[in-house]
Amino acid sequence: MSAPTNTPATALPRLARVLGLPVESLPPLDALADNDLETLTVLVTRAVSDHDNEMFARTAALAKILPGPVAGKIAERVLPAALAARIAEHLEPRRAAMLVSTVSVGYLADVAVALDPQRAVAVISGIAIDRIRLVAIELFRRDDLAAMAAFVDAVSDDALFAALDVASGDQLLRIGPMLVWSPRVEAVLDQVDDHHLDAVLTAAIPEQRWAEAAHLLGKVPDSTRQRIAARIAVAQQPVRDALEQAAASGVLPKPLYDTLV
Amino acid sequence: MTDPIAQLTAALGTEPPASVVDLPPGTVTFLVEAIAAAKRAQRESMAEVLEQSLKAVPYPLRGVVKSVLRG
Repeated sequence: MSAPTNTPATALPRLARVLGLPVESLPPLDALADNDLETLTVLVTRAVSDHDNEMFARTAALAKILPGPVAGKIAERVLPAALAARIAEHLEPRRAAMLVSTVSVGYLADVAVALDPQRAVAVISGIAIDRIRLVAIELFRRDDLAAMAAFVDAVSDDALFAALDVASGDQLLRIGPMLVWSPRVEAVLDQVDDHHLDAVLTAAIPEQRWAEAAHLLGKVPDSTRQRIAARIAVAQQPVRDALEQAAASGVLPKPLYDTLV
Repeated sequence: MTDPIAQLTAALGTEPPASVVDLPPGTVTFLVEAIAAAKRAQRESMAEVLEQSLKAVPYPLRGVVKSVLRG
């Protein structure tokens, strides 16, 4: 199996979802190594979905013979999102792209949350960026950050930008610890515009999200940190004061703060 | 077969990750039973969905839909 592409924070809700259980009803799994929780989640997801793989493939084949709007309407009316996700993994990308334009954004978001991101790469690749943006808006409206984080490695850079573009500063702060950091994630974050950097900076203050801010600042490459430092230099005085106080009280590590001022 | 790890291996169809051995046996058994229940629920749900889907398919297409679903 390939290296895990998600973090424990995203794994637990996905494990509960595939088992059809509330996350609170799972027994403690703290004894698992972080990567092993993600690996177990993927293995359980595949064991359950592969159990009926042949039936899913045959159902996906119906998309070839039913007119798109008919297939979409039937799916949304009778197909629970979890089953739709399993079937979607068997669709031809072109067919999937056409089908997603016939169902509601709410249903599409439900299906997206239930998808196995690694298996859905081909299907997702065919979906128009505008549609992905609408699903991202819906998932951020639900504040389902774990679902969003799980998709980072499954979508194109353009789709990732479209999704990041609709997140609030507070959500960008909180999603940081859920990401598996890679050169690609760093490169994408390095291209986030100043408006979003400012939103992240100001979001940390009212909710005192210094742990999340420290995580983000500790992970981004030097080039991004330099851009953040430049934004702090021109930020309003209350923002600079709040950062200084956070560093003085130790909630924002002083060495990290020193790289910003 | 009473060894929970062996049961989990059978349920997954492959070896579980290494640190699963550090979980209490009751937790592993919980996972085994939950996987089996999820598989059962999925099959039942899928059978019901297919029946309902057929009713929603336009009448002239039902024959061909049935034949595709039967494989």
